[in-house]
Amino acid sequence: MNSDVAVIAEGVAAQAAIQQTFVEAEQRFSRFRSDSELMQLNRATAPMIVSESMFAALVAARRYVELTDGIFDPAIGATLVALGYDRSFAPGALDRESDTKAATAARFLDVELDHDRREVTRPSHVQIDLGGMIKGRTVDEAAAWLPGDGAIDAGGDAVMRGGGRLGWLVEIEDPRDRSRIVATIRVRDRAVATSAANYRRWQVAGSQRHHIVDPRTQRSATTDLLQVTVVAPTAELADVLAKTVFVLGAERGRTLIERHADVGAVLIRTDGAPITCGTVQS
Amino acid sequence: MKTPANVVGRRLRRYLGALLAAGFGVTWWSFVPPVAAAVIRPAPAIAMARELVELHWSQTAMEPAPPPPIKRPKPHVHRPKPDTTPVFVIADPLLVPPLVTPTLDPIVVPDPQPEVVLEPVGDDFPPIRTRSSR
Repeated sequence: MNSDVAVIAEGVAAQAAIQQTFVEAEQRFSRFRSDSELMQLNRATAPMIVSESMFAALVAARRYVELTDGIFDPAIGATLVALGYDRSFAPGALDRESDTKAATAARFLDVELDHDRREVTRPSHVQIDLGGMIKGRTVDEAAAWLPGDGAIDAGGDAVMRGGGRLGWLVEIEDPRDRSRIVATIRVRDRAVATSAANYRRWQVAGSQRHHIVDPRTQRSATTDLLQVTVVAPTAELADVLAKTVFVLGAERGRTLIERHADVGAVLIRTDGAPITCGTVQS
Repeated sequence: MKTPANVVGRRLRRYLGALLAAGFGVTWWSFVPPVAAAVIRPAPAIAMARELVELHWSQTAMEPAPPPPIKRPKPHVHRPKPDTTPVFVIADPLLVPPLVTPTLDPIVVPDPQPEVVLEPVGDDFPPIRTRSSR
């Protein structure tokens, strides 16, 4: 997942189980490992029976596609490769002079899921990428191993259990200056996730691109937001909504957040002003 | 032909007489007290200026004077410390039970994992920093 994972918990046993959870998630869902279950599915030319974990993730992904009206769509694997994101990100590693051919637009809803057999039928032009939700999902699974109060932070996607009287203090990094904190939130028994396009950026044939794809255009999203931080009951939901709101922009993104009774967000517009919405109150 | 002496004499007497009269007049006026000398001052200058001011005022009264520019202090640029930045409070915090029961699928982990040492949770909860994935 190309992220550092920090765990604040009691007991070595919990730490080992949490680490195992991340290791297995990486081996199963990584787009950059040719032997991962996901890439086996993406190469399959016939219906494939997958593991329980994989099938559950695909079912959840379909639910999020419907929840976001297709703004969140895991069928962007081929598009990401066409945009240049064909290997694990590192600054400068994706830069190149020449562009590649655009991918055929794909929809995750075209993937058939057979619940009885755990069988997945994938159209040949659909390449699945679960990067928009799998880190949050893994953090949720790992957090189940926390014995009591504790937190797991995986590259900015975090679950916080308990938190005492005041709750956990979450610092929201300034996307323009990572040494600064632009806002703070107090949370208890909540998850947070942040999406921005300031780090995972690269240049192809002179044009700037980033990793958050707008399925409607099959290009890197253009938006009036610099950064989105979502607070939700689960890190998976926060992860999905953070990317979706980023693509939608401030106005429609705020509407999406406020449709959920238990979700809040802090939006950083391109002019630098933070906007709170949903359950997050200033 | 040479001017006769009687003619020259008569001219000289005339010239000298005129000079004496002029000199006498200058001497006379220098001794006259100045009170008798009237100095005419330009009278309407102030009155004219007052008229101009009033006229200017009546003309400009139709248009409101522009407000003076508001001087705003130069905004401070500061780096907010965590305890001075806005604090957003989550409404209705809820206890959320674990959503997923962890199950381990039969996947063999080929490489041994390094041992990780935990720090126990203390009474203070360290801040969590959220940002986009690196």
